[in-house]
Amino acid sequence: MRRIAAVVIIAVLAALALMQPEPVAPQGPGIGFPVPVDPGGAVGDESVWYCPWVASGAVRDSSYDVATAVNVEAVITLPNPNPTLDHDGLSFLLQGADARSVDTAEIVRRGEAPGIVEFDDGPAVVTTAMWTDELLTGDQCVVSVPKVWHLVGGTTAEGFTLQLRLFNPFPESAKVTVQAISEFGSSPLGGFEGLDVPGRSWVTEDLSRVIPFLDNVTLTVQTETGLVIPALVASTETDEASWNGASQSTTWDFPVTSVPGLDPTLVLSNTGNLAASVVIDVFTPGGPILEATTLLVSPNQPVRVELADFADPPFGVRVISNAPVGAVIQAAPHGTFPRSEIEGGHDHGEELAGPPADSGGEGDGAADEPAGPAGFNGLASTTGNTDPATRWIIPGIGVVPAAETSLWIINPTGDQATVTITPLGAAAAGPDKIIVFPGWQLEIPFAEVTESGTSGVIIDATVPISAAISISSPRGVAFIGGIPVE
Amino acid sequence: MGTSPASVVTAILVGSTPGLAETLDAVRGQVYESEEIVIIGGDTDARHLAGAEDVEWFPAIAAMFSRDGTSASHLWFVRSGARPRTDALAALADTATTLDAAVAGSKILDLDDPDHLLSVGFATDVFDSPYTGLDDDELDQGQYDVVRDVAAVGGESLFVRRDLARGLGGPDRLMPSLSAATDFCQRARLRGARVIVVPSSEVLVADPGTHREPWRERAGRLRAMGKAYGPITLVWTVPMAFLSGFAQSALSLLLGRWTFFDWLKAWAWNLARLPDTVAERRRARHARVVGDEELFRYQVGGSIALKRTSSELSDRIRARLPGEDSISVDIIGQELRRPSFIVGVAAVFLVLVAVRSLWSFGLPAVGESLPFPDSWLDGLSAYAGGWNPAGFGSEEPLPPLIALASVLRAVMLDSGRLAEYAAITGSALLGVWGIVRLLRGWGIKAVPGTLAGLVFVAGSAYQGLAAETAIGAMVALGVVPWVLRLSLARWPKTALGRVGRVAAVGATTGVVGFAAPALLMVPIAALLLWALLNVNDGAAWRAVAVSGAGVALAIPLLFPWAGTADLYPFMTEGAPYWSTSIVVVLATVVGAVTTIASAPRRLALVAGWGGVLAAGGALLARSSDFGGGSELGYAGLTLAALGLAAITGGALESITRAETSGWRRLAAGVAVVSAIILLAASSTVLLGGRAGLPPDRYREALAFTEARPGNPAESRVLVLGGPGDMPGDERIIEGAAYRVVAAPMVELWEAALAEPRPADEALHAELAAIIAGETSRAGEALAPFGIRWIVIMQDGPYAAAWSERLTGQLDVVSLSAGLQNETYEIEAPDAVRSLTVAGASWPRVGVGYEGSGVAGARLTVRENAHSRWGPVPWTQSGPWNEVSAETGQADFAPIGGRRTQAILAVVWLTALIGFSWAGRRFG
Repeated sequence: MRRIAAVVIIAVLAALALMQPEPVAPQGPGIGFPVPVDPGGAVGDESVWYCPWVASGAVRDSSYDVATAVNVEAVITLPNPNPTLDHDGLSFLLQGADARSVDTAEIVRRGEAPGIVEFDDGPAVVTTAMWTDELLTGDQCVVSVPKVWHLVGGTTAEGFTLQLRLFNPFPESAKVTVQAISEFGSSPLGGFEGLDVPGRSWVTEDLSRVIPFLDNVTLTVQTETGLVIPALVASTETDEASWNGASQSTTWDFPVTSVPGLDPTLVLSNTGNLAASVVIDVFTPGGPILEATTLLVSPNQPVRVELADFADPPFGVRVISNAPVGAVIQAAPHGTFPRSEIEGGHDHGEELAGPPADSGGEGDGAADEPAGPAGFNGLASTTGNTDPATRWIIPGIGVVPAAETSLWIINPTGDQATVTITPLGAAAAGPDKIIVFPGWQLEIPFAEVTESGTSGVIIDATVPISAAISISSPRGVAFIGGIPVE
Repeated sequence: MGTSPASVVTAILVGSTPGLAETLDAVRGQVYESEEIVIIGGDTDARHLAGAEDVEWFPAIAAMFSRDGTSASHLWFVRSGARPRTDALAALADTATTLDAAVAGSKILDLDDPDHLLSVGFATDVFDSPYTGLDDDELDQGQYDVVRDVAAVGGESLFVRRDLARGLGGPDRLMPSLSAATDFCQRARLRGARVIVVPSSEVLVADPGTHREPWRERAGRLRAMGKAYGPITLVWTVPMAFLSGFAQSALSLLLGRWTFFDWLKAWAWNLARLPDTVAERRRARHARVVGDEELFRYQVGGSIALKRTSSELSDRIRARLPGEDSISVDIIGQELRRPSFIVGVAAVFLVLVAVRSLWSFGLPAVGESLPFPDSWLDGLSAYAGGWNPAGFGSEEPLPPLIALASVLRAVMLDSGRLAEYAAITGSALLGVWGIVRLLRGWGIKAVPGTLAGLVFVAGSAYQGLAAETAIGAMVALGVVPWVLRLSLARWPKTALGRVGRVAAVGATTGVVGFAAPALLMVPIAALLLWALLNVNDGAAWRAVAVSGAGVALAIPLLFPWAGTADLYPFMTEGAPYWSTSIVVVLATVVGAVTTIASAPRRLALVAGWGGVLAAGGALLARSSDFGGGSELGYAGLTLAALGLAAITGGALESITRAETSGWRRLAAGVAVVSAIILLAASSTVLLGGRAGLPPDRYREALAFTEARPGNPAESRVLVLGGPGDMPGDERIIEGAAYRVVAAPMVELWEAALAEPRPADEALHAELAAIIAGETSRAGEALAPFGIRWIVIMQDGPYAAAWSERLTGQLDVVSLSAGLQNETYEIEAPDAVRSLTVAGASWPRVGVGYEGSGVAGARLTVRENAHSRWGPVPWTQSGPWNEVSAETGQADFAPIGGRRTQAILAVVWLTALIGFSWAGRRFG
């Protein structure tokens, strides 16, 4: 009897044991570990900005241009190319909404000086400008560091020099692979697989020698270990243009595409697997031209669109695509860029009704008057904004000596925008309000900071807009995108 | 005889042995008359006796030599208490002069039993231990009656050429008899003298018996080596003598003899007399005519003392392990061929193979298996009311395992590796032995018992404990069968015996509790089940009661931990889930059922008991779904291990029984196959040589800290990964795991993390900010926590997620090149655990800090704030402590109450051991 009882107990206990469910396996960090939001713009918190293409020496002058909406401590750190030596740096306070342009030579004057700008609070933003007697360039710095970058708009055509700057501000060495596509499809880049970029250093590769005579080159920079911030630098005999890498997007806004004397072009690149159908809206100072053109951008086949075919400059544009594409605006004197045939491109623009003749903005009405001399001879390039925003911070206004700075605003919405422009700087004037009609582009010129005391602006709008600046002088032209506040 | 030319002075050396008068009478009665008889040494009584007997007395041999005026050619040294036969001197004088031997000794017989042979000269080993070659009770049948050269002769009767004795200064006055004789003979031989034994010269002495050797004999032998051997010989013999002596002391423990202090005293005595030994050595070797090789000719290999102890130990083991009659020397060969002996040796061999890596490296640092604290004293101090160093520290009590580990470490002369090896290996061997003894009480013989023991300490359940890295439970497991065995053993007849038995159960249960408190209830649960299955057996119920009393007696041993620990989370944290092969499950069930069905009644009960234990234990070990914690799971696995062993033992024994016949035999065959499967499954622990523990993860991961500049003990390491990747406990953030550990190596006392305190919460917040990408200077954020390094464990999604968060940091440098794990170093300054206002860092020593004291300076101790940190004045600085830096030391003042409890626990344990010894000895 006891034997049977023992067997029954064993069976019951064993069955119960076997029925016990296994503990739930821990969930991976993909669920609980939040993916950091890619800021892309200024955030209301501490931030670090990386500026890859800056130099200050016997030939070049440059500035780190910062602007903030709150009290911040800014620290500029310039890594030393000699790894055995300490970095150079400068820290300073900005009280409240303020802007300041820091001459790089105040920190160091040894040539190339890419750097890092850290803010202990935000929103605060950074752009850079660089000039010599013969060139002028500049760009916004980047605040997010993805592992894959797309650099659109490179060209190694005759008359151009194209350089790739890979800036690694982090302690860890980075290993990157660079791939190129051009009008001929994929273009192998010998020696660019597993390229080492030492920590807190940078390398500059002359692509003109590696992939010469290509009209339209898109680079993809992929990091295997570590992180880098890439920038492309195109040079002609007359000027230099630099622009950062970016991600790809289905929407791009370009508030500025040209200044007098320069023809605007739009370079589009699609690294996906399917052709992207792209629509281009044009926003002129007199109203929009919606769907000015549509075109197909084939995979691995970057195209350059001559925007002057759709309207007389100046104007802003919006690019809308059914698949993520990379986009860059480049402007140069007519005939500088090789012209390409656009597959599927056709004009069927529909011009919207303009505003009433008497409804100009409450501002100074500068949109009616083209700024500057009849024409500039330069080369400018900039990436666009992926999302319009109601608040923008734009530093670097009037910071380049003997150059004209204009603020460009487009209102891509269907609603009228009331825009408040708050000048920032040591002796800035008070805020000013203007109206930007739906689909309009607006240009607001600024005097040099030495005259106006304004070295940046904060823009608040009632509807989402896009903003950028241009800096123009006989030495050259630079387009610098505005930075939205998120 | 009377024609011998030797003229002899007989010198009676007075030692501690009584019987001077009798010796004097015996010397006077010699047929070969001495020219003179003198007495040397001794106290007032000896001098008075010399005066009364008209014999000259000298305080020392040197005094005798300094007196001139004798023409004697030889000296005969006789120890007081010895009774030379009347012809003893004649034989010595005749043979020595005939054979031209400078030193001659007598055959030594037992005074009480003159047929009992004590020595006929002897050889020595290189450590000067004597080897007579005689059995303890060997009779004199003339079997050694041949004059021969020997290494030395007994000091009771030493016939020496006078000029040689004078040159050598006689026997060393600092040495006892035996070592003095050996020393004298060695020195004589160095001068070319021949040393012989003359068996026809018989001397009767009191048998010293097998009593413990006086430590002075050990000391004398060391001194003799120092005096006689050349430098090259000493270079290797002295260290070997040290180690051999230590090993002998350690082995003697197993024989119940505590000779450790004798060993220490012998060496200390020699150290104190080193100058004198050096002087004597100079004298001894000054006129030598032969080298050490002449001494080696009369020596045997190895260490005689060690061999003797080992032999005694193996006799004891063999007497117990097979469970059969004691083995006599005559039947050793027969015994060696017995299966029980072979299986026993094989079991020991398998255990040693299964733990072979632990000998080289100690415990693998993985999961809860971490190296013992690096100082036994610090470990005990921290346990007894000191600072708990886990994470950022706390005042929460350390688990009793730390105390046990520290004690083991102390026993192993503060060698952590040896202590870890001893803990696991000792437990496994004890476990096998314990199961043999336990099952023997139920009629299961040695062979099946030993195989069952192997399943107990290496089977699937044990592997489950090892896979969970439950070191404490693995150690406790080996003692559990002994608790059962003691509880079930025949009930003593006397009251003292009964008290001793209960005390013994209490003490052994206490050891189980020390290693794994949750296992305290395992023996009583197993015994309760046994009693239920044998419901009419009063002895079984008494065993339950004894075990219950043992638990009650053991609980006070666990203070202060038991008094302050929060037992609810202790028992419920973790998610046990024992997953084993379906083959093992089937083998267990089939083995249990077929044995229950087919075996004789007693064996069926054992198998039933084992089956219920195995199934119930498995249920407990998979109880996470209804709230069972890891500790409960470990208890379940221990019960399951007991069950598997019982099933194996029962199945293997059943087939050997004559009453298992017919269909029962067929069923028993199936049970045996099941048992063999369980045995085969046990063999997997042999693979890694780590007793089934997973491979080391943290030693290599953290070893780099010692190669970095500076003192790693000044900083901490932040370990990141996924759940289950951390050493010991972990904290969870956003589904991933992290914790801080001490550099250069995480230790066992850091395993259990306390509830989060301010510093822990602050670190959690900083990590949350890093994860959210809110900072690009993680190093700056982490340095104030004393974190200098970051190690990401393993590859996988968690590692990738952490890596992504750290890659874009501006002040965190990768050190990963050449390292197995992704590793970073923080560049920010002051990533140290303690910091003075002047910027100096003090390294961690134990659980405190030590550095250069500066008058008036303050030290920030980056441990969770607690007012017991000092020296005073103490202030809280954020989550940290700020203390005076004047003394160069910062420590946590022990919590008095807890320390008192710990001391009382030691007293209580001593009392239990004392009672159990007294009960066994006198009960």
